Amino acid sequence: MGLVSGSEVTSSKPFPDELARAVSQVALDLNLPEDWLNPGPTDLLDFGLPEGFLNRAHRVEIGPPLTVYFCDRFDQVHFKLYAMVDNGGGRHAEDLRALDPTPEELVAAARWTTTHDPSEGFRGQLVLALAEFGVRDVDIG
Amino acid sequence: MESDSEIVGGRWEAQALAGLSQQLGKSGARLELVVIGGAALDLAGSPRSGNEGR
Repeated sequence: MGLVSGSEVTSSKPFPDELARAVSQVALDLNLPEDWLNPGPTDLLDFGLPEGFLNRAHRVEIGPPLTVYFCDRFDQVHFKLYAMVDNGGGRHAEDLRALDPTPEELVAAARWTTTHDPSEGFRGQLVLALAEFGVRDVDIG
Repeated sequence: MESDSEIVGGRWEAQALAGLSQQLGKSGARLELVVIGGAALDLAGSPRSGNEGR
């Protein structure tokens, strides 16, 4: 979860007080876990979101006080590939399969993930992950 | 083109976000949030998403 500040996405960790209070109240009202809304993968912001992320995001005005941007499928492919490689497959691999990414999307995503983790170990796992999706012998930067 | 309800997700997410908007309105706050993960991945509590962040 990030916050929009101008044309930038900034970290929501920790939540601003008014948001934290509102989240707690909604949890009580609807019998949801206290952390039903949480900062989640805010650390992705440290190394940058995919170029054009906010322009692709789907803007939904929930009400005058709250607008939510939901990330586009193209960006989900990026995040899911990164999570799959970073965490060793599992449900992230299933999620990525469900997105049915094209080879072009996977290559774009792969290049982005290497900006977050340029290590050789990560790259090796990334190559294996791409191969699972039939993407081989590509330049991932 | 997806409808807003499809983008927001299931019924509890839509209810929760509507409630959140209402609460923020009471405090006079205005916020723009960005869901960075996949659909509803920042929203814990649903059978699908859990509380795993990314």
